[in-house]
Amino acid sequence: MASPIRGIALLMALTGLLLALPAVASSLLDPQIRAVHFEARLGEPQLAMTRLQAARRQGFLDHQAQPADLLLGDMLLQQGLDLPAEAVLRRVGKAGDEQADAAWLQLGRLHYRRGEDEAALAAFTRIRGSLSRVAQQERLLLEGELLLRSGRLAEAEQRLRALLKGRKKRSDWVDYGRFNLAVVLFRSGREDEARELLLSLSKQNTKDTTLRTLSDKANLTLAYDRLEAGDIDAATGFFKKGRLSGPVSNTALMGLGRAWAAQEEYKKALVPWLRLSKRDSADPWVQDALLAVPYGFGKLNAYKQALQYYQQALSVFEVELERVGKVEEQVDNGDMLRTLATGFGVDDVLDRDVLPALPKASGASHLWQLFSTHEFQELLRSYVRTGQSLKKITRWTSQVKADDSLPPASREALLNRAATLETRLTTLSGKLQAHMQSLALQELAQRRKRIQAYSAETRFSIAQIYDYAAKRWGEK
Amino acid sequence: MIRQTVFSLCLLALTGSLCAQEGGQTPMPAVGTTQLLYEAGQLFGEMQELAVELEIARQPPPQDQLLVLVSLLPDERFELEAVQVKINGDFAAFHEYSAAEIEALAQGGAHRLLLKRLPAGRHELVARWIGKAHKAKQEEMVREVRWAFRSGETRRVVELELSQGEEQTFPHFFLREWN
Repeated sequence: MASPIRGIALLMALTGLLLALPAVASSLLDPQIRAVHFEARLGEPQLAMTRLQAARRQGFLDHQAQPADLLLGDMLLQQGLDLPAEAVLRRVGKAGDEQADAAWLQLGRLHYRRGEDEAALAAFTRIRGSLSRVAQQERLLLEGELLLRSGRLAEAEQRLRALLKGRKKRSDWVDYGRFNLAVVLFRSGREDEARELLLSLSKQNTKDTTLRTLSDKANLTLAYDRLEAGDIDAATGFFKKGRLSGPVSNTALMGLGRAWAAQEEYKKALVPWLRLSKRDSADPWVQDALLAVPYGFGKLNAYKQALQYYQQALSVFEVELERVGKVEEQVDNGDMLRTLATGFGVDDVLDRDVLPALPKASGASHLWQLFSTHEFQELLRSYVRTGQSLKKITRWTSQVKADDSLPPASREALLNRAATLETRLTTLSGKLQAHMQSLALQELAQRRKRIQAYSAETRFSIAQIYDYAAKRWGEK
Repeated sequence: MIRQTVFSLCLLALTGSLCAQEGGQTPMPAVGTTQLLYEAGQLFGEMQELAVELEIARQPPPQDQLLVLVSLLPDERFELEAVQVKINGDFAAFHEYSAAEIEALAQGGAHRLLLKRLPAGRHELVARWIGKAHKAKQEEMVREVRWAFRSGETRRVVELELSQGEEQTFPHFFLREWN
């Protein structure tokens, strides 16, 4: 059955929404803290964060330690510095002041993003007071998902119902929550309730991208549910409701064909399969369709067309194997990583919508599934950050060398540390590059294996048709 | 019979790929990735430590420091254009504010106008706000505040505040020291 929708994409899309820094900084805050707000707004978050950290280190903000640390923890997170951020936020949380709940929320998000489910749940549990409306919605969605993943279905349901309770205003968190609640209900065996919830999502007629995607997923889930139950008419209806161009449209087209085929309506099944077979042949669903089409023709006793489409599939698979080979070369010679790293900012998220816009040299057409994983994006983010850090080290080194006001001993120590870090960063960069290349090559090897298997099957099918024809109509 | 075999092969392929796709994610060798990301996280943390140490090394010793920050609350009665600071009669800082900076100040931000090392002893700081008062007879307006202080004993942090308030007939310019 369906998988819950992970909040990570949403979390990344909404980054910054829950900044510890309020939209308007309070005049009761020390101006050194408000200066961080000013500099961050003007595009200097890193400088602002470093100054704040330096002020804290020297004890300049001890009189407002909790708000300063909450802000610092948040900024460290924004800069991807998870380890120091965790230490700072834990300090704020344990202090138990009015900033503690915000710190536990941030820690929960951090552990959730890193896949540390138990730690995330423990952090969320420590929130004592009330959060802002949006923060509370986020907390409930993430808690619900974490509980669902650990099989604590009743608790997951309780959190997700609390998220939906009395929510009339549209919110991405609530929409995702509705879908995930349906998954909880399916897994709890309360299928009718789950279907009802998915139906409410499937009926959404909106231009909102998030809602449309959710609606497509709801329709797809309902369609497969009906297909499994043998209710082919209903399954077909749900498949038809999905968009023909959304992220799940290939799955829907294949499923629609299967639904018709299950009713032995092969003429009808061929319509979605033929449509799908004309799409990008790098997509495994399209490769399936390339085999499904001649299968359908075969079922209609149209052997000539079946043969023609098998031969067409074979050519496509051969071309596809060549394309996989080219992408392997791009991975090997470093083009893939160079292209990806050039266009990728440390705050970016590579979801399927942006992948088509990537240059060909990135190999995105064959590697999008790998690229869209959270782990790969974290590796890429670290690789980009390593390059930026190396540039920073070069700049700092020349600044320190030129700064006569620094005491010689201090200058020497700073330069030594910079040199050591430079060596370690260079080594890390190489390791990250090799690891990402190895992951890409593994993915391509799997693709190659699959296409080779499909090619072998196609050749076998062609041979069988010739054999059948020879036996039936003779050598002529 | 032959057709049946061919079709069932196709169907097997279809079903197999369908199951594979439902997972939706490519398996990753978790150990290598986790270790590398941890190593990267440690190293970036150390980079930030170095950045903080550099920042501290460039600053004057705390007891000799004077830090001046500027803040304001937006008001139609006075449009801030620039702030100037003189110390002991010498120009120490002058900053003209852009629209983006005024917006950041209006959101509660504070601008670090000056961080200066001062020799121990007595000093006088003169802060000037320069701007336009649209409703006043003379549109150009300059307001000045003087502050005498001693350095060399403790770090001095002052905020040049431009505060408003409906009860006030005119914006209030003042200097506030933070400890």
